[in-house]
Amino acid sequence: MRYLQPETIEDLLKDLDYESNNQIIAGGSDLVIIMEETGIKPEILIDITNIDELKGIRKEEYGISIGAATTIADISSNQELPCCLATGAASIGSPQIRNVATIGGNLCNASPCGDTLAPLLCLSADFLLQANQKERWVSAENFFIGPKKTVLNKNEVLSQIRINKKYLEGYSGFGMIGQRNGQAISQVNLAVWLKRSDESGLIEEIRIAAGSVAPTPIRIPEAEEMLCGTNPDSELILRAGLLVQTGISPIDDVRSSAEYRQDVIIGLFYDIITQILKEPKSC
Amino acid sequence: MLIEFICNGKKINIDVPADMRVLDLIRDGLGLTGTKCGCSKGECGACTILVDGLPECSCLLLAPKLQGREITTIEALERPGGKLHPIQEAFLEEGAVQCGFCTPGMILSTKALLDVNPSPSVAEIEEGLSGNICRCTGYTKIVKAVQSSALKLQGAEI
Repeated sequence: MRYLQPETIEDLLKDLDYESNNQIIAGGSDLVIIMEETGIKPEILIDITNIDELKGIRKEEYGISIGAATTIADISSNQELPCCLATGAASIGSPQIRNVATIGGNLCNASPCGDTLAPLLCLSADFLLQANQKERWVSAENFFIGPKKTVLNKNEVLSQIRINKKYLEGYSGFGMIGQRNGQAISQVNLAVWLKRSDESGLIEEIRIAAGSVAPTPIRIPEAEEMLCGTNPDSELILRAGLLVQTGISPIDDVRSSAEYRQDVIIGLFYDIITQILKEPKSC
Repeated sequence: MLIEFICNGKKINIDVPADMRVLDLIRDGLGLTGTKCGCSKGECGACTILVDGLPECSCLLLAPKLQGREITTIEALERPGGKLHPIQEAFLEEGAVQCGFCTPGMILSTKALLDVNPSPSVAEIEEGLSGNICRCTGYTKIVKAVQSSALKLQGAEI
């Protein structure tokens, strides 16, 4: 096996183009396990974590941009990022994992239970996919096409995640159900972003995204519509929660049953919305 | 491939296969067997080492990633004259060690935590050690040992 460690995006894109049977590695916290378990190893590993341009969180005119090789630890402790994303990142793995795992890795691995997926869908994030001499922006909505499947081509790299400044305003929250607090993989996760009118206090816009309950992270437009334009009381939040319940299509798997996922998501939704409305700045 | 890094203060130049895990390099290549192999999935924390001061699972790290970096394993905590590190003393005094397999990882996670947060709350200790699993002690004594370590280290500084 060859191990390449390009230091610029330009060199990375050339490596991706010229070297066949390559595999990008960032933190490696998923990939190394797969390699060890299956014994299947690519001919060439291309490590992207020495590329400074791919690391860090930057405020810009558009909003905020996150380098794909930024660690989950850095995402979880960043004060500029919306609460749902930082909290989602903080719920991944353990300190040891968060110190190496990257947001790009979490996205490209595209596990339905990945805890940054629903937050970024909720925040209407866009992803920059770069290839040699080519690049394209893909929305979070269109990036994931199935469990562990994305639209990323073989010679492309996810280099940057962008969140519009609109979503830096307003408030958001994230919650997940797992078997324990540390090291747990989500059985259900949920991200909510909303903006209230300064004058009336009514919800002007709301986005709800759930993970681990469908082949890809999904929005729940029916519940969004029910809450938009309201100042919801407990009853309305619960009614919207029922729409969240019917809006998901979970399966039975090793971590949880479909029935359990459908049961707990209502309470999870209720808690997140209530927290955002009552203590929007608690995050 | 040839890599160069610092291990426990010593410069190491070594030729390694690109797919070698740091865990195997430390144990088999460098003979430092204090770092344990538990689950090989990054879930148990027995293989925890510090990389540039941060706790990481050495079972998930490939050796080429060490190029130019500095690692600390449990062996580095030994004090002159074979004396134990205050964190190690605290773990013994509080009875936070039973079979001992998780202990090197627990102690390095404790060190990483106390390096940035010298007097953590119980919740912060639990969060700091959430990547280390102990199947013997039930954690109560480990949390006490971390609190005691914090006091010892503060005392040592005064």
